[in-house]
Amino acid sequence: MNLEAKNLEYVYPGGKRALKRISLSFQPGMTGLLGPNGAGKTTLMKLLCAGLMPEKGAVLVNGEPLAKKEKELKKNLGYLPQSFGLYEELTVWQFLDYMAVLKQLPDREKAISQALAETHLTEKKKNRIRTLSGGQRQRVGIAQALLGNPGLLIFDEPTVGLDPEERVYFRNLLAGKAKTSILILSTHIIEDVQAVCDRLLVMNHGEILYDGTAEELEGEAECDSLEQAYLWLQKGEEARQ
Amino acid sequence: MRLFASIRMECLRFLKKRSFWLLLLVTAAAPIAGLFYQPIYGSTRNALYLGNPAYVGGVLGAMFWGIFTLVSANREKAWGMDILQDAVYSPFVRKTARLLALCLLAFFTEVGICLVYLPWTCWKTGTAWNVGLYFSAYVLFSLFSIWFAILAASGIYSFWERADLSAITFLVFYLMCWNGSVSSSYLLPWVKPAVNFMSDDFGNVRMLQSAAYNRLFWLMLLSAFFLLGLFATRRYEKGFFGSMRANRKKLLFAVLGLALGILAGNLFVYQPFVDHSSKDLSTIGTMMVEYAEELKLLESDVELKTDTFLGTLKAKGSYRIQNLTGEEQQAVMQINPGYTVKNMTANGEEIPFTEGSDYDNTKDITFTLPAEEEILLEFEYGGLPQEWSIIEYNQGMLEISRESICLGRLELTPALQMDYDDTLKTTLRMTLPENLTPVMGGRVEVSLKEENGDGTNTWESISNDPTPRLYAGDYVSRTISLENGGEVQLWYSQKHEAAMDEIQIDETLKNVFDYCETHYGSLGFGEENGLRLLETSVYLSGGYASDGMSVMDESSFSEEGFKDEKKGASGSEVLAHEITHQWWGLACQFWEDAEHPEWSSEGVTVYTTYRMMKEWKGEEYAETYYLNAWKEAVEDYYQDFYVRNPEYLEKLPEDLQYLVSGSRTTVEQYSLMPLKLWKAEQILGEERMDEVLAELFQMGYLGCTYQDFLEISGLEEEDLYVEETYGV
Repeated sequence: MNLEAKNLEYVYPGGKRALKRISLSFQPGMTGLLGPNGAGKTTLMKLLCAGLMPEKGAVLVNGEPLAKKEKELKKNLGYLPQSFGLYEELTVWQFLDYMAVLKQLPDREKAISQALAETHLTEKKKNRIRTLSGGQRQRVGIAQALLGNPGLLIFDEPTVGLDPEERVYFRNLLAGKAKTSILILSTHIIEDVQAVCDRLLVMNHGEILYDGTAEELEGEAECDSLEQAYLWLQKGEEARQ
Repeated sequence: MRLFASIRMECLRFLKKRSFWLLLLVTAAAPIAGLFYQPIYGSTRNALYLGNPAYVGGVLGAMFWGIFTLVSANREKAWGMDILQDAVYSPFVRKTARLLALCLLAFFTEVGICLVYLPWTCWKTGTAWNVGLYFSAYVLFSLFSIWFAILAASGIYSFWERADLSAITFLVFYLMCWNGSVSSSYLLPWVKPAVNFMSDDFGNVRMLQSAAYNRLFWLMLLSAFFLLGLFATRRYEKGFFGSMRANRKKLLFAVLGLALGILAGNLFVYQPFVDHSSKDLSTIGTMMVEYAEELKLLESDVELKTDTFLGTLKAKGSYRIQNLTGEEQQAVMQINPGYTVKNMTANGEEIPFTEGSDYDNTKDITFTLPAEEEILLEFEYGGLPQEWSIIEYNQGMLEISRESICLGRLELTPALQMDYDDTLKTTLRMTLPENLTPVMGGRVEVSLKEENGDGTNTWESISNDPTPRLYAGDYVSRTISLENGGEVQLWYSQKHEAAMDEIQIDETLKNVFDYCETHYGSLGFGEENGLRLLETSVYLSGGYASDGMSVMDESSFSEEGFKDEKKGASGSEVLAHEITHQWWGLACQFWEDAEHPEWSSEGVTVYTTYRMMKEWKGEEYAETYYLNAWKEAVEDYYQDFYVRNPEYLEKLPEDLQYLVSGSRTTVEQYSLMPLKLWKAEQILGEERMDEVLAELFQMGYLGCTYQDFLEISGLEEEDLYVEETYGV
C-alpha cells in the first residue's frame, strides 16, 4: 500500500487552522509523530484514516483519492484513536469477534487468537470488558487494531496506560508489524519514537517542522539527546541552553 | 453480506446487555396493564382479554423500546464506541444494522409474548376465541407500535445526535397521539390505533383492515424519516448541513426517503376507509337534495355479491321508473361515498351521470332520465363502503367478512330520490357466505333461494322497502309469545345458545315485556306483526329501533356483561335490564341535564329492574341486591372531595373538570338516580310512581327531562335530595 498526503489543509469549524499545506508520503515502516498538544497530530491521523475530510488538498491511496478509495482503505486499516469506548457487556473474545465480523475477516478465530496472543490477553479472553483495568482495555484497543494484520496501522498514543515493561513490549511488537505495514504512531513519549521509529515527523501549529530520522535530527540540532533536539526544534536556541 | 452479519452481531450484543433483558421483562409484563387501563370499550371478551392487553402492551412497549433505542444510540456516541466502528465500516450500515437488529428482537419478543399469553387468552375468551384475531391484534396493536418507536427514535437521533433534544422530540412525538385533533383521526395516532371495540360474536375484519392501513401509512412515513435521517448521518466531524454535503454520494437515501414520504402522503390523502364529508357538525343535515316528485319508483331488482376477503360489495341494480311528464327529468340517487357507479343505462341507452361531493356519509349521483313514460334504469355499483369521517376513530360498523355482514341503507342499495308508495316491489338477491344467516331490517323477510355449492348461498328478499338494511351473522332465533298475544322474535349469535338457556331467556323476556307493557305501555314499534329483537355487533354500540325491529349490541348478550352488578345480580337480571331499555332509552328518549347529570335512561332502567325483581323475587332480595348496593355506592360517592366541595371543581382546568365529572357518571346514573327514584316512590307510593312513569313514557321520541319528571310527579327537587343522609 502507498499512502500520500498532498497539500493537506484543515480548518476546524471554529476557525482554527489545524493543518497548513502538509505534503507527506508513507511506505511500509514505522513513522513516529511528535509534537505538543494542538500541533495537529490527531487531525493528520484522522485525515489519513478518513475520519475527517480535508478543506484543501487530498489523501491518496495507491495514487487515487481517498474519497474514492475509502472502502478499500477501511478494509486494510487498523486504527486506535486517542480515546475510544468498548462494549462493556461483551467479553474480550466477543468484542474482538464483533470487530472481526465488521472487518469481514475470513478466518476470524485465527485472527482473534493471534491478536490476543500478541497483546497478552489470551488469559483474559473470557473476561467481560467491564472487569478489565485501564491498561488491559488499552490492550484490547490495540488488539482490535491488529486484527487481520492490516496494511495500514494508525495509533494515536497507543502506550497510554501501559506499564514500562508493556510499553517496551508493544514498541517491539509494532516495530515487527511495521516491516510489512505502514505504521504511523503518535506519542508524547520520546523513547517510544527513538527506540523503534524509522522516520520521525515533528509537528507544531499545523506544520511539519522536521521529517527525517531521529539521528539526523540530533545531528542537526547538535544535541546529545533526541529530547533536547526536539526542544531545539520547537523553541529554538534558547531550548539548547 | 456485511449488513446481515452486522445485524447478527448487533442482536448478539444486545442479548448480552442486562438492560435489554430488563426491557424484555417489562415489555412482556406490559399487556397485564391492559386488564386495568381499558381504552377499548365494551364488555366483550375480545376487548377485555385480548384487545386491551395487546393495545396497552403496544402503548407501553413503544415507550420502553423508544427510550432503549435512544439510549443505545447515544451510548455508542457518548462513550466513543462509534469511532472504532466507523474506522472499519460505514456508519450507514452501522445504523441500519442497529435498527434492523432492534426490530428483529422486538419481533421475537412479541412472538414470545403471544405464546405466553395465548393459553390464558384462549381460556378467557371462550367461544369468542379466534386464533387469527389473536395474532392480528398483537401484531397490529403491539408489534407495530414498538417498531414505529424504534424507527422514530432512530431517525430522531440521526437528526439531532444529542440525547436531550432527541428525548424531548421523541416524547412530543409519543404524546401527540393523545392530542384531541390527532386522536380523532384514524391515521394520525401511531401508537394508539383507532380501535374502540372488538366483537365476540361478529366480525372484526373492517376494524383490522383500517388498523392495518394506519400501520402501512406510518411504516412508509417513518421509513422515509429514517432514510432522511440516514442521509444526515454526521461524518467527518461535520455538522448537520456539512454532513449532508459530505453524504452527497448517498443521495439515494434522501431520494428514497422523499419517495416513501410522498407515497405515505398519497396513502393519507387517498385513504379508502372513510369518506370526505365535512367534519363541521353544524353542517349535518343541512344538505338539500333534489327530490324528483314527478318521477315514481315502481320496482327495483338488485343482485349483489360480497367479497369477504377485501370487504367489498359488487351489485347490479335494475329500477323501473314512471315518468308521466313527457319531458326529460333530472334525478338524484344517494349512495355510500365509497362506491363507484358505472354502466348506467336508461332503456338500454347509456346515460351520463355526475358524482357530487361527500356529505353526511352520502354521495349524490345525478343523472337525467329520458322523456319516456316507463324507464328501466340499470347500473352497476360497488366497492369498499366508507364510514363517516366524523366518527373515523370508531370504524368497524360496515363489516363485510366471513364472520358477519352489516350494511345500512345506502351501503346495501342506493336510495333513489323520487316518489314511491306501498305498491313498490323491491327484490334483493344476495350471495353470501354459506355460514351466515341474513336478517333484514324492519319487517322485511328473507328466504334461502339457492345453495350454490361453492361456499356461498343466495338469499332473496321481497318487500316494499326501497333501501333495506342487512345484518348477516351466525344467527339463530327464538320466538317468545307474550301475555297480550303478541310475539317477540329474538335473533342472536348461536355462540350464546347455552347462555340463553342458562339465563332462561324466554321467561325473562316474556316477564319484562309483560311488566313494562302493563306498567308503562306498549312499545311504539312492533305492534302489528310482533317485535323483532336483533343482536348486532358491538360496533353498532347501544341500540336503535324502527319499523318493528329493535337492535341491541352484543354487550347486552355477553357473558361478561351478565356479570355487570350495576345492572343486575345475575345474567337474567342483566338481560332484563337491557330489554327494559327498549322502553327507557329507545321508545322514550332522555334529554341530558347539566345540573342533574344523573338523569338518564340508565337510572330509570335500573329502578325498573329493581321493581321487577321486587315483584318476582321478593322485597328482601331487591333490597339486598339493589337498594343496599345503591346506598353503598352513593355513600362512597359523597365522600368524594369534589362532590362535597363543587366550588373547587370549577377552579380546575376545563379538561380536568371534564375528567373528574366523567369519572362519577357511572355512580350517578346507576346508583344515585335510582336511589332518588326510590325516594320519590317512598313519598308517592308504588301505584302513583307507576302512573308518573307511564306518563313520562308517553313522551316517547319527544324525550323527557328531569323537570318533566318533577312536574308530572308534583315533587320538588328538595324532595329527592339524598345528600343530607350522607352529611353533605
